[in-house]
Amino acid sequence: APAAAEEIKIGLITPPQHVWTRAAQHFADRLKEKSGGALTAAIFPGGQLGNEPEMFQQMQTGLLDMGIMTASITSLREPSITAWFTPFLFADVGEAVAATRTPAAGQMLDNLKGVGLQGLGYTFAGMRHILMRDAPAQSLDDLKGKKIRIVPFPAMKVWWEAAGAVPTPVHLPEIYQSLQNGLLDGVDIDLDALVGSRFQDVAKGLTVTSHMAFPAIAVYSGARWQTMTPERRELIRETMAETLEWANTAQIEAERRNLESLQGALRIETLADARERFARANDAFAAQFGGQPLVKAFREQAEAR
Amino acid sequence: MTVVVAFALLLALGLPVAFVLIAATFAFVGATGNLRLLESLPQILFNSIEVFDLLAIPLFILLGELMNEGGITRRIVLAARAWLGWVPHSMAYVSLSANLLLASIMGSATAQIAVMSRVMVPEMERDGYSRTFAAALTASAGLLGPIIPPSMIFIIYGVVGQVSIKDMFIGGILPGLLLAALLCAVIAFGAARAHDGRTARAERPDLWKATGGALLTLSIPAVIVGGIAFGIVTPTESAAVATLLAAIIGGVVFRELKWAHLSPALERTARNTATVLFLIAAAKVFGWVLTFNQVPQSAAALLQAMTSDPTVFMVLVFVFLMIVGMVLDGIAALIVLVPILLPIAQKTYGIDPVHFGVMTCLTLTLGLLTPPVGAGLYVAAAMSGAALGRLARAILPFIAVTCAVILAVVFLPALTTALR
Amino acid sequence: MLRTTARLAAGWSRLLARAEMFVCKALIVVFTALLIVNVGLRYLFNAPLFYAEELAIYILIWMAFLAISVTIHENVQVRMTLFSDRLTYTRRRTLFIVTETVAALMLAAILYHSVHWILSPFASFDMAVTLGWPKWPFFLIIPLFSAAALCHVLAHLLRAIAEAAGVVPDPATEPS
Ligand code: NA
Ligand code: NA
Repeated sequence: APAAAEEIKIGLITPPQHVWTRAAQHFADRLKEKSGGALTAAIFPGGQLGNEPEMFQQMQTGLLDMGIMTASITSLREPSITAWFTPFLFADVGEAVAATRTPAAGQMLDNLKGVGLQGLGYTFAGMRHILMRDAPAQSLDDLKGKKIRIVPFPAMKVWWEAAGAVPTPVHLPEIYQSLQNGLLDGVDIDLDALVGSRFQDVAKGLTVTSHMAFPAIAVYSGARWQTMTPERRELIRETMAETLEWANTAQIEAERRNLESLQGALRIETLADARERFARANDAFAAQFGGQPLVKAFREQAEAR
Repeated sequence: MTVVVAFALLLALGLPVAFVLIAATFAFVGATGNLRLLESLPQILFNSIEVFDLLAIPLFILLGELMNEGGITRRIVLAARAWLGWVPHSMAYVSLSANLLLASIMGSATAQIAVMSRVMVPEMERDGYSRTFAAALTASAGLLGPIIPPSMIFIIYGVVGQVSIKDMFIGGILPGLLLAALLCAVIAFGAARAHDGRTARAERPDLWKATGGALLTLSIPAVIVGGIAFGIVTPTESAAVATLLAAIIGGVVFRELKWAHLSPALERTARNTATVLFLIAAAKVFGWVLTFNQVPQSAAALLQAMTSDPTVFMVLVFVFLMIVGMVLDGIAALIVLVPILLPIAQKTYGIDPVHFGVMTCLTLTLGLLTPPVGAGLYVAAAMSGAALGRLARAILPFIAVTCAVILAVVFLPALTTALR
Repeated sequence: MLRTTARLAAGWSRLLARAEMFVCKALIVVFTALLIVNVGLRYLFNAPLFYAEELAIYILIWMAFLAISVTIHENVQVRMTLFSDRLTYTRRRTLFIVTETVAALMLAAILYHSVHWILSPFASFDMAVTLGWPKWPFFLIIPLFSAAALCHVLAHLLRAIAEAAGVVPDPATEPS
């Protein structure tokens, strides 16, 4: 007899229009199609089920089946993932996508088993740039002592501190007002978030640096993975691989479109030699994280491509 | 069904409301049979309070305590009375104006209700109003907080729905002023009945003496407004800084605040914070279990099938959100429902996202005042000492006017889009 | 026997509540001071404490749950009394025994699950991001709270049962 339709639950923190949420939707649609309706997926975007640490906990107990989680929070559980935040390792999202095929990137996913998770693959938000309340930053001097909002995790904090700025953790819904009233001087941000939250209304200068990539990792609950048949695991792997390829192509396109839509709304400065200008910060990252074998291996493999 | 029965029964039996919500969660989990949900309960409980905004609640309560003990509130009210005392029911209007002023600073209705219930209700009571009327007026005037910009709920709507936050802020201005005007009308018609018959025209202290006494105290709101406007402090931090200022003015300048006052003030702060946060935590737990089981999501999907007319759809959504607001926390409901409802509103019915957003945010904010789960109602009751049951009844006329404002928004989209 | 136990339980519960309240007051002072200091450091020296907000929130969580336990001890949590207000004292006490039993069962369940949660290897992976500390010590407040609140509720229950059994003075039979 055919098994009754089963529904898996997918959680993520990004809002509905974000490319990661659309990827989850794409995955759900394809899964239903490929399983002939036997397997469906319900998506909980926008942190409906909680923040990422909560969702990790729910996946570890097997309550939540799957999540698309930021690499920054995942790196707190599996430190080698910090390798993805090596500054200026990728010129654009396309290069970052290519690096997902390195053995080191695969090893990081494997390591997640140690914390009760099955890593399925990577997807990306846009590259990180610097949005300033006033004129776009040209050099480290322009950032000295400036309060820059960062995503609070070790790699980004180390980099920004070494750059001479004052990294300031501010919650996403408060960035808008903080930029408006000057509590923040700038934001380390990707263009999706910039355009999505309309920060161009309250900031004047964008420096296009592409200083870091910002990946997310599709993970499956280890507890749930154990209970699945090999066929079903293969189905999920395959569907996810297709989905991530689709999403990553979409992200490369989104980056171009976002930058285009910002023309005229902001003063945009593109720094071709950003890597040299931020050398001091890059060295600080290398000193603190670059020694880890997997971080080192990843850098070498990514650079060799 | 089990959940509804358990909920109503335990509520009537007098189990604390927070425990009723947790019990409803247990009942719901039992009904779904997924006992693994219970394993997540402790963490959800912890995370429900792990929200930076919530720090504003104890801070503003403490601020209110110190302002009261240090003679600061008294001086402000005295001055307000000196200037406005000639108006019948001036204290009610003073309360409303103070709320309007505060609304232009604060983004959260819950925090605003916490402050004002502490500060204004005792003063209105001294002027002869019943405590329940004073608390009801204060709680509903607190709704102005998120309607008049800035507004936490508008920002979250903007982020979740990809709508311009600036447009949302502008869209809130006219409905906010309309609500203030209608609240004036409720005072004009309803205050007399809530008054004990003593003269509603407050006795007038000497104008200049009272004004002089209040001038220094005005530095407190000035620090809050200016500090936020110039990016020196976040709204939460402003409360901490204002607390320090209130302690200095009350203790050093007026010499009314003594060391002996401090411990009881802190005790009351702890107690009142606990009452509010326990409810917030329990409501989050209940809301989470509903969301996990996709209860609000399925209900929203049903709405679409019911009509093809945009206005009727808006009315249906309004009614639906009123019901949701009765049992769910507004911001949680917003995060769950906007991603489902907004695309339908925009694509199927061609409704302007700002128009839809202002209506949605207003309705969910009103949920703060509707029993059985209404954080604003609980805060007002806890802070003012009014009986919850009586307060829930006294607030009905205010809820009715707020509904009128929302319906005005539904039928007159220009209210939200004209200033853009 | 019942009488001694009820008296003892009430005494311990009171003592516990007093200790909890003392800690609460200290914690309120600490997070208020922390935020003020942070504003000063940021505005005057352009050197804010990176972790100020996060630490303040954890202090708030500890304060809140301890204070919730105190309000449970003092029986001042918000409740609907429209119906029970109309009953005689004896009936109200019976109701009270029922509702306190329900509360005790839930607190026991939360205590059980929270101990499991803290002991699970997964709780140890959680990090307080800006502090860079493991988060599980902060989580301890949940089992601590449920245990303390359970003590308070059991003390209430014992008292009410002892009253109903007539071994301690029953306010219902005393002239008021
Ligand atoms: Na406001
Ligand atoms: Na409500």
